[in-house]
Amino acid sequence: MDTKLIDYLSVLARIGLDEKEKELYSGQMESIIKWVDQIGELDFRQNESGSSAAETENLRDDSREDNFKGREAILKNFTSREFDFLKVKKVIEG
Amino acid sequence: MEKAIESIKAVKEGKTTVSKIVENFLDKIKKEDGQIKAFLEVFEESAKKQAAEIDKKIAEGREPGSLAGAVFAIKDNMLYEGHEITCASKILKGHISSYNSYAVQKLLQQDGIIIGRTNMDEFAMGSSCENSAFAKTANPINHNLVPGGSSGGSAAAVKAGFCHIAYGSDTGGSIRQPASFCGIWGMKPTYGRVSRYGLVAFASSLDQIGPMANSPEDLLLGYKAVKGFDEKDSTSLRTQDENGSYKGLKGLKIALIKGLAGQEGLEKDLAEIAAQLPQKLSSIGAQVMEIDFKSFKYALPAYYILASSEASSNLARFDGFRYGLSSDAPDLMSAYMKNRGAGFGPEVKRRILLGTHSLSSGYYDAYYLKAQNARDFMKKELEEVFSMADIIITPTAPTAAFALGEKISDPLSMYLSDIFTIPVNMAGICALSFPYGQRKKDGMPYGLQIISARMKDEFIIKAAGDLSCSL
Repeated sequence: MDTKLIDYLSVLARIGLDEKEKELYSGQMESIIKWVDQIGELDFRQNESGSSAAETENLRDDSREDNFKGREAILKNFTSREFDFLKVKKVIEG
Repeated sequence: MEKAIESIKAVKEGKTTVSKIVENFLDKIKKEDGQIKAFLEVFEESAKKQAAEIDKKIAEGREPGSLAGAVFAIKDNMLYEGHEITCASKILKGHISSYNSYAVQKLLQQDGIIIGRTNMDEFAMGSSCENSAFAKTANPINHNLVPGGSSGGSAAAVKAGFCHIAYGSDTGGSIRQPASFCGIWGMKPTYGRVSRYGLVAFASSLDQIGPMANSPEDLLLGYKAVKGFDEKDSTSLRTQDENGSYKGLKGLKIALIKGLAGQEGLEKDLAEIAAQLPQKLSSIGAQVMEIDFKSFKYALPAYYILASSEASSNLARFDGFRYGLSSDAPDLMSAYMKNRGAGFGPEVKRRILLGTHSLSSGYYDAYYLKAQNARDFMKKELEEVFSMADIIITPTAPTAAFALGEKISDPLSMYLSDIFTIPVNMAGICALSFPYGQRKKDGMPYGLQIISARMKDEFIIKAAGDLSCSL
C-alpha cells in the first residue's frame, strides 16, 4: 500500500495525518488488509446478506417529549458560542 | 472484601451506613489508585452526596432502593448527567454529559452509588487499555502487566477492591478479556438485553454493556440491575430471560471446539488446561461433545471489517464543532482534518481508515458484504451447536496478561487477543469469563469462557458459578 491510498482515505475520513503517520499507517494497513483478505476464501453465494445481531424492531411514535431538561447542558458543550448564537465554520463555500 | 449483596444486607439490617461503605472505598482508592490508575475520575462529591441522601431516607424510615449499599464504577463511555465523559479520547476532553445513559439511570433509581469513571482504550478500541489518551492502567496483580482492554480500568477497579461491581462495554471481548487478565468475572449479555441508550457507540451492531465483579453472585446482581426493555434503543429486547432451565451440572451438555487446544498463539499452560477439560467435565457428570466450528477462523477478520466500518460511520460525529476538541482553521475542510487529526489517537485512526477503506467504492462487495456473509454463516453455525448443546466452553483469551508495551506497536498481534470472544458478539449471543487456572511462571490468572444461546444470560451465570466450584 502506498501513501497515495492513505492520502485518499485520510481525506475521505476527514482525518489529517502528518508524513510520519502516513508512513506508519501505510505499512500497518497493508498487513491488516492482507490479513482481512482471508475472508475472500469463503464462498457465500448461497447466503443472504444484511445480517444483524438484533432480531427485533422496536419502532415507537416519533412524539415530542417536553420534559427534556438537557438543552442548556448541551449548549454548554458547544465549542464556540456568542450570546444565544452557536458559531460553526461556514458550510457553503464560495 | 465484602460482596455487594453482603453490603446491601448489612445496610438493610442497620449494621452499617451507605456513607461508611462509600468512605471505605474512597480511602482505598486514594491510597492505591495512584499506582494502578483504574479511574480517570473519582466522583467523590456526588458519591458522598448520594450516600448521605440514601442514609437520610433510611433514617427517616423510608424504604431505600434495592441497590442501597452497593458501589459501582462505570466505564468512561457511559453517560452520567453532569459528569465529564471522554471515552479516554482527547477529542472529548472536558465534555459534560447532558443526560443519563439507561444503565446509569437504572443504578441511580435503585440507589446504587456511582463512584467514578474508569480508564479504557480510546473509544473502546484495544485490548490492553494502553490506547487511552490519559493514563496507562496497571494490572492490580502485577503492575508491570496490562489489565486487558478495552474495559481495563473497570476490571482493575473490581480486582483492586475500589468498588463492588464495575460496568464495561463489550464489542469484541472488551469485558471478558480484561476480566480474564485480572482474575475476575465479566459478562457480555445477549445483544439487546441492556439498552445502549447513552453508551457512546463504537460498533452499534456489536456493542453491549455488561457487569464485572469478584463473584458470580455479584455478577448476577450487576446484570439484573441494568437489564430490561428500553424504548429508546431500537434494538432493545422485550423477550424475557430463559429462567429455570438450568438444572445443575449433571447431564449439562457442554460443547468443546475441536482442535482448539492446538490453536496457534495459545499459551502452553493454557493449552494443557484446555486439554484436561473433557475428562474433568465428564467426571463431574456433564455430557461432553466436540464440535467443528468452521467459521471460527474467519470471525476475527470479518469482525475487524464490520466493527471498523461501523466505527468509521459512528465516529463521524466527532468533528469539533458542536462539542469536543476544536482548533483554528481557515475553512471547513481543514477544520475537520485538523480537529480529528489532533483529537483521535493512533488505533482509532487506523480503524477509521480501515472502515473507510472497506466501505469505499469498489471495495464494498469484497470486504463489507463478504464480512456480513461470514457473520450470517457464523450465526447459523452457532445456532446449530446450541440445538445440541447447552453451553460452549473455550479459554477467554489465548494468553494471560502480557507486559505493558509488549504489543502496542503490533496491531495484528493485539487483535488476536480477542480470537475466542469475537464470535459471541458477531452472533449476538451471551457469554461470560470466570477465573480458572494460572500461568505457572508468574501465577497470573487464566479465564474460561462460557457461551450460550440468546436469552440464556442467567443460565450461564448459574452454570459458571457451579463450574467454578466443581472444576
